[in-house]
Amino acid sequence: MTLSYGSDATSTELAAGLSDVLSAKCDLDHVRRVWSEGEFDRSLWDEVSSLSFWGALIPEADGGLGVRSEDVVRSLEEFGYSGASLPLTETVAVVVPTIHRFADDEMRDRLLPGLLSGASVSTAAVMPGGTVALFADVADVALVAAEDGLYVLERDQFTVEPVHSPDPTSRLGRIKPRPDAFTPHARLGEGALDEARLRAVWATAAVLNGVSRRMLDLTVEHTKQREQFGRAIGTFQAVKHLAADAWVAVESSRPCSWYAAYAHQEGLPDAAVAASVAMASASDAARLVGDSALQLHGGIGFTWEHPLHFWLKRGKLLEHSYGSRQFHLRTLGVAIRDEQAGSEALFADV
Amino acid sequence: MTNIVVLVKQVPDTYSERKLSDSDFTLDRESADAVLDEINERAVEEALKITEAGEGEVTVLAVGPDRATDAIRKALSMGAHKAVHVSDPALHGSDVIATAKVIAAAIRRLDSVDLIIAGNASSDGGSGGVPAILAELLGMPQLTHARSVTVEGGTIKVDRETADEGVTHLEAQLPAVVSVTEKINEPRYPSFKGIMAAKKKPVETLTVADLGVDASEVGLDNAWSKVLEAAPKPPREAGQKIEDSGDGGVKIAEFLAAQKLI
Repeated sequence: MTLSYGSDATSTELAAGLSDVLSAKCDLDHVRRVWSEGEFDRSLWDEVSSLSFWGALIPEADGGLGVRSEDVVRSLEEFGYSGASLPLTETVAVVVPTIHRFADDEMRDRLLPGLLSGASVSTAAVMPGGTVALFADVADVALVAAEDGLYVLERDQFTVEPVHSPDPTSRLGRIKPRPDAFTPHARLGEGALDEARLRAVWATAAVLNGVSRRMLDLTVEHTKQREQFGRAIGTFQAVKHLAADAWVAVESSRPCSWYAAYAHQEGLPDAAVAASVAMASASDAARLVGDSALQLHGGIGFTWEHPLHFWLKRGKLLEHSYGSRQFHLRTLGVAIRDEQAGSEALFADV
Repeated sequence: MTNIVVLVKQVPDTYSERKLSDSDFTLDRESADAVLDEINERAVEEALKITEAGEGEVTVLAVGPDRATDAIRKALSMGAHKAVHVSDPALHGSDVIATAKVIAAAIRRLDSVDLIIAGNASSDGGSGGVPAILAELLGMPQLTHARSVTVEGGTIKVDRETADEGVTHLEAQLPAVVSVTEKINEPRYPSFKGIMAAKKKPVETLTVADLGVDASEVGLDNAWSKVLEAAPKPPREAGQKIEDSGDGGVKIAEFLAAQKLI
């Protein structure tokens, strides 16, 4: 296999394109404002919607870009890096491609135009054990997992109960379907749930790696400036070692999500294992980087005024959004056991 | 139908450290991140606005080394239709006159060019001479330092603004050469659709020989001006610090008086 990430590679160009917009429209002041005001960041949503990004993974003939999964992974990293609070992962990587592939023609024609233009906001509650979703209260369309498969619920078919989150801008909420919401018509085709889970996992792993990278960059910047005992603290070996370990963790985790996206795109037999590896390693890295970042910032990293906590809290949320580290490690354990027994497991009930 | 050629240049990012090469004192392009000059993004934006309001095609024209394809692709991803890239080692160190000759030759090869839009000056060379020289070589009217451009039929109207002369209103018949200032517009961001589409757009790569330009007219050896020596800018001296022990205001007033500012 070849994964190309050179300067002319699609993945690089798309990531640079998104990064240009996000760095201009979502600077530190903007991030702080969104955290302070508590409103959904509709202006940035509209800005990103104008880039025709939401349909990246569906064919050009259907209004998308026909890009491969591994080509949006680095864009997802840039999104995590930027600190933007949007259901970007859910829209581009999960909802749009899953509806495109598994919905009937009527539902596709009705929902996709709004999702592609950004007129509709969407989210996904696809993991086992509950219907908690990010951006639940602003979602017009929600993918919701049930015992017998994956359903598409529209705004008037569910209510939302707020759920406490370390990151309030992510608008965590429990989706409560109305009694008549799970109609046969709202149910997506066979395989939709596995597909949506797989997508949510590798995509979120990529976003989390971007979050970690930002925490590391903030930390490196700080340790270059902050002086103690007459010199920058970054020159002390103990500080350097923590930063180097953090860097190794992030850079080792990134290719895991790249590969997971690729394995999914190709339909490889290890796609589910690769997704769990990606999420477990991204969680490990985020925890290590976050802890080190907080320590290396000293007291200031603990304050609201310093930006570190925006990414720290986002990281904590994403670590648990689409299966915790423990969940994915257990999934891997089951996969190893079942491989020996000769069957394939995909996020089996563990 | 307005066919527009936009001149674009890849320059070192103004955020990175820019320097001259030690050997021949030309710009060291390898030492810094290379980007599409920001003023060119505005030139592309203006061309796109004009063609979107009516009809026509936007051709991007760049003279520069092979890596300038990145800058060209940026312009194409914004929405320009095709590109011409003149790349030739013989061009290394060319001055504005040689550069303008090469650009003029490349434009003469194109069919029915109605308008040429350039930035008023690049952020690296900064001579601002190419648009005017090009107009002269092509025998077209030049409307430089435009802060607004209107095309109506075969006529172009420009508000020209410079720091020294204020605003003047210019009008000319097409075809013409326009250079724009940073006040002209806010350039768009390439959409993902634009980025993907740019990969399929035609880029014609030409050498000096392809253009029929004599190699003895270009390059560092034939430039009318040459850098003989270069030294890094001396670091800025630290300013004077005044400790305010109740008489800070007086000391500032004394300082300003000593400078004959008050």
